[in-house]
Amino acid sequence: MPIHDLGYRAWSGLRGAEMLRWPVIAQNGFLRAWNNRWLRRLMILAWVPATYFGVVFFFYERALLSVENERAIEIFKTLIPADFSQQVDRATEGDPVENRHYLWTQLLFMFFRYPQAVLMVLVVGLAAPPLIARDVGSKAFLVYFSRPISRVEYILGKSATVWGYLLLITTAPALALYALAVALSPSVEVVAHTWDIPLRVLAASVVLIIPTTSLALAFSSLTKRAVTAGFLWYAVWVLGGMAYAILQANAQSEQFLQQQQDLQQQQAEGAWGEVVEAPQPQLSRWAFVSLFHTLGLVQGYVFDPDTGSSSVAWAAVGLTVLTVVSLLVTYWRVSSPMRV
Amino acid sequence: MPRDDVRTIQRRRFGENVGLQEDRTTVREAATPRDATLNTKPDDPIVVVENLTKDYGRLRALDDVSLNIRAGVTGLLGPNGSGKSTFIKVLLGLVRITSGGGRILGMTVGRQTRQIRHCIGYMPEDDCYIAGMTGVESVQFVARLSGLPSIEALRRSHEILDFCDAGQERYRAVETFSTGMRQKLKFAQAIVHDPPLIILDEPTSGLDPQERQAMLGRVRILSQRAGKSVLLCTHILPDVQAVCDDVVILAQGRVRVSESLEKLSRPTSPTLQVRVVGAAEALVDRLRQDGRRVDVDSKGVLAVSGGEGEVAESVWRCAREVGVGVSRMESARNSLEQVFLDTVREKQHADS
Repeated sequence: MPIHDLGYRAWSGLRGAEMLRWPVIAQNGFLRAWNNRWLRRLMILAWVPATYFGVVFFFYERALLSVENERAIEIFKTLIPADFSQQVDRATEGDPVENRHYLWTQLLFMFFRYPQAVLMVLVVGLAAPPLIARDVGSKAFLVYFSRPISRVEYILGKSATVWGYLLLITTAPALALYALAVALSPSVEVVAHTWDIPLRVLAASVVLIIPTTSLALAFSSLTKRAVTAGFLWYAVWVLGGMAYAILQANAQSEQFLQQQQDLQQQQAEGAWGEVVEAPQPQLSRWAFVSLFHTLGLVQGYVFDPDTGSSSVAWAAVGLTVLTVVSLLVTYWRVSSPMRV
Repeated sequence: MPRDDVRTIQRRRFGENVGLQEDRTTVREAATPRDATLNTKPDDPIVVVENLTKDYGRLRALDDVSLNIRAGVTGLLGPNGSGKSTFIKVLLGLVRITSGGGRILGMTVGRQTRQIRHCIGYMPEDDCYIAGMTGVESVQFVARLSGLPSIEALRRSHEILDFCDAGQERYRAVETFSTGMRQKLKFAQAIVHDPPLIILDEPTSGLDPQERQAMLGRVRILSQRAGKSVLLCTHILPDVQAVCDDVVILAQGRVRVSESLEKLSRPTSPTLQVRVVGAAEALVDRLRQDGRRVDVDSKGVLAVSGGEGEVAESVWRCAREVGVGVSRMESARNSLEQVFLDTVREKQHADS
């Protein structure tokens, strides 16, 4: 028996605010997940792309400052992935200073679209699956719901755990990159021209974080085993990506065949007019089968509203439906132990 | 350290079980239920339920339940599937009531769920825990869910785990806990926020005799010294007899018995249990001639009742007349087990 044992004593302190119980769940979930050393390593790794993009921003701003800016622009172009060469050309042609806003948003979109999206899949795959699955397995719902906690607060707390990790690998580095870009720019006045970029970063973060977290938690609530939930999560991304690649390749081959047929027909008719190139297959046509590409469509619109099309609206609707369905599934699963 | 605390430590008797020390000074400041949270007068029942019905689809789990539960320790008994767990879930606001209503500590069931949960400590029967935490972290976490500030929650958790005699095992992961330790953990979680009403669902299930006594001792301390009301849901009838003031028996979703244990234990007619030295048969015959009803159990103990006049006087007189010695004579009491079985059987007869 401990020497400081005082037996049972009443407690009459002040309780915390009623509506702030969910951060307790979030904090607890965050700390529990942090015990996973792979997640810790991944969180450190998640800042490496930010460093790379920091270098890209440096060379861009250097190009604007230096007399020999051609050299700096060449280096800058070599650092940019080939997919974005069109945007880079557009930004560097003409007055680069005028195009700063456009280029910064494109760089940040690139940052969100590729390295951070992949890292997001990995981080959520490690952090989210145990969050509810472990509570299902250990029947912990009674521990939570016999306290002044509602089911919505429970789900909010669990979601906030994942949001915390995602904010650390997406929003925080993106805002840091923006701050770095401002610091490297010749004048603080650029803030006046680029004030909307941090808001776009926040909006893109919301687009990325909310649907993915909801889906991951729905998977977590469907099983007692975190491994199963993790498997489901990765399966969605891998299978979605594969399905998109196959359907896209199929669409391209169909277009190619159609083009060949048209050409043969024209030759048969003796018309040797100018061959009209078939339109490029719409990249967004099959985007809905892949969560990665659906997110990309909406994020692309957030960073550059000029790219907006009807497919973006459908992608946004798709993500909203996914979020709502996922949250309903989670709520239903969390409530189910109480029904019996 | 304040002088009072030093005196407290000096007066402590080392090596004794926490739960069984009725004379400890440790609950000296405990009997201060936070009246601010209680909307009841001292003599009001803590739980009032009227015409409560709960249906799960076609299954009626609670059927027109009306009862009052007084402050103190109340045993909630019933065979499996009698509606005990549903009743507790209704009190906690975990399931919606089909019809009827009730009040707990003056708060309306189903409407003031949050406030009710602040005032209730619940120890579930199921082996439920939050995985990935140590014992003390687990108690601290539920304390924080109940609104205790972080540091205070940790201090309070240690205090309560000391009360529960958790020792150094509190620093182990809860997944590795033994059954006894898990029961202690659930008990600690139920009382860490100092609720005025504690609901314990099978608190002694899976405990060895020593731990069981310790657990019952803690319940006694909470009730008698700390002024807590306890609703004890169990199948172990001796536990109810050991600590409860009142008993509620549910069967098939209906309240069959809601009475004080004292009254339930009292036989319908005054009966004496008599142990004799010598020929019991002669005394039995003589008492029957005297108009008494006499039953003899397998151990040779006579249960004497009925007839006119004082039973005890009649026993002494008859024993003297037949030359039999009386070694022991005491008032008979109904066993709770008998009451429980009779209640369940009555229900079965009524059904058939």
